Amino acid sequence: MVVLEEAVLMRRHSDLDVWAEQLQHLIDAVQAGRIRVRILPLASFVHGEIAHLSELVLPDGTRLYAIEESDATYRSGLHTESRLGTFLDRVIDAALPEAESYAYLQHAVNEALTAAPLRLP
Amino acid sequence: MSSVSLLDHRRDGLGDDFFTHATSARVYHYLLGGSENYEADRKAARAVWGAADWVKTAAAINRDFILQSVAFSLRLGVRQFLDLGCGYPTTVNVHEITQETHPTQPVVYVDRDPGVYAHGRSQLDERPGVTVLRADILAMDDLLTCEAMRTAVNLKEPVAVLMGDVLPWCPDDAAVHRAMAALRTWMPPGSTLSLSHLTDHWHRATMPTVSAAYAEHGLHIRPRSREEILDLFGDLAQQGPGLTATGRWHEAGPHALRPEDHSAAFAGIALKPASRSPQKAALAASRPRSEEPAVIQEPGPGESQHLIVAHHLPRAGAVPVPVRRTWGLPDLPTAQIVAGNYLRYLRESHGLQVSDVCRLIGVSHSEMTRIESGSRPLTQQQAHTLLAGPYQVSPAARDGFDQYLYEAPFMPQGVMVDAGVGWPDRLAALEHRAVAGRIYAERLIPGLCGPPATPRASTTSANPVSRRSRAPRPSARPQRWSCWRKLF
Repeated sequence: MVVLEEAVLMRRHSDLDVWAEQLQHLIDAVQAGRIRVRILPLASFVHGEIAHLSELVLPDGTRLYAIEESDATYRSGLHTESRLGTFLDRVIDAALPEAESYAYLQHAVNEALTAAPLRLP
Repeated sequence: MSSVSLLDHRRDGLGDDFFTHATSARVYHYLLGGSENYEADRKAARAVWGAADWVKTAAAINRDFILQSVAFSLRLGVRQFLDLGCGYPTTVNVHEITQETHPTQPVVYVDRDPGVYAHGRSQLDERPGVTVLRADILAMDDLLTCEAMRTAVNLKEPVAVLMGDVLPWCPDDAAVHRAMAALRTWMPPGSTLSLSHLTDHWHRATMPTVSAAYAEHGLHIRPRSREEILDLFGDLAQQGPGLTATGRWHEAGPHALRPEDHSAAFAGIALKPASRSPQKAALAASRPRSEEPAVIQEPGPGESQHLIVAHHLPRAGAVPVPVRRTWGLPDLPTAQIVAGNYLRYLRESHGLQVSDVCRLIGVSHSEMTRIESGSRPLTQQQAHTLLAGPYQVSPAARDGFDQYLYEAPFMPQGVMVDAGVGWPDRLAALEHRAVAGRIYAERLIPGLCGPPATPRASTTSANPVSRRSRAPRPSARPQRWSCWRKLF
């Protein structure tokens, strides 16, 4: 499950071709059943101090949490599973359903393909 | 969902000196890395830490013991919890564990500190089943018979009593014994008592300095011997390994491999057996511990994979409860988990077997497996031999991993920051190893989900994607996707 904040789709890359390519890749992955994507509306008020969090379940069942910034911070253990695992639960609960999220992605890629490139004045 | 103070606010409330004198609760919270403290508390904590470098580790071990004891009692079928001397709310509190499986079961927090009570009221008592009491545990009779306690706890069912290093703050031996006797009498059959207590068993040289450092800041501690601590359990039946170093009690816990002196405390979990005749009780008390029948409880479907060995499991509560699997898993040091899985990824990506590499670094097959599973550390030299040899890692990335290993011992349990060269590759290796996962991204499309031309762009560029930032990948994209097909 990948949860993207709505802001991710709003902050387009200046090169719209690159942006459209990336969004299309995401849509292809969803269509192929490789990933599930949910969009978290900005109005959901479920936001943390973490910009990028991955929960990785390793083969032995250990849950490892990776926070990516200019480095990687790994967390694991009882405290972390409660805090960050619960945060992810809340984020997923507040996100749009998969069908709506998929439609939003398609809308975003159409916009990227048709809109004029954004340029600084 | 209530909070009651049994103490006189005028006599024991927030006096003029409350913020200018150290309190045990705030010093302890500071040692755990918390923020509920003032300059006086920080001074006291630093003085104690200066006297003995084990105090911070011991505080963390003690907290972990209590939290894991909650899961242990849940497995024994106990559903009600009484946390005596609970201290300030922390990142994980008792009710947050019990509510995973039993959302409305009662949890009663008790502390005499008015600051703890205030925080408890504001943060805890709105949760279903949670009661916050301000009371002196030495006035145990008053506490256990108060209206709030009688309302919260059903004495027809067992109760898990938690006392995490609270009694060392009570120097009056006679009062402590009176309180514990009242508590043991009150506990219904099948109840558990999880207790840890500071000791000078391993620190006879430094403990007087620690006591003096506390005393200079108006705090008084009473470390007790193993025998004195054992007496606190009375005739309750010790479970698991019996009274032992706090970090060692949970054999699969995060501190099980630490030296005993790091705990600086003894801990035990004891069970109040079902009522029996005085003759049988005397017979059981005289029986050597090693002859007691051990019950091995197999985990049920979806439960922890490690076994619980318990003595005198209560008959009524012996049925395993569906505790979330993760609570029962060992908390291994995060640094070891990351390093081990990274090495395993490298070995497998080169098509090597464990037997191909273990001899190179002078370890057995099983030791190498433990290193790769994160349950055993490895030395810098061993890592260097593998990375420069069969794993063919670049010198820059080797230096990055060197830096990682250098930092690892200085990181707190449960956290590891990897900022060395090659950290994105190490993260990618872990993503490869994962069999399931969830991602939350606030600003960028995750690098893992990007098109093949822009792998992990987010880690090397300020832009969401950039064709310039093609970080070298440890493997080809199709393999990654085949992995992540399982993941989501």
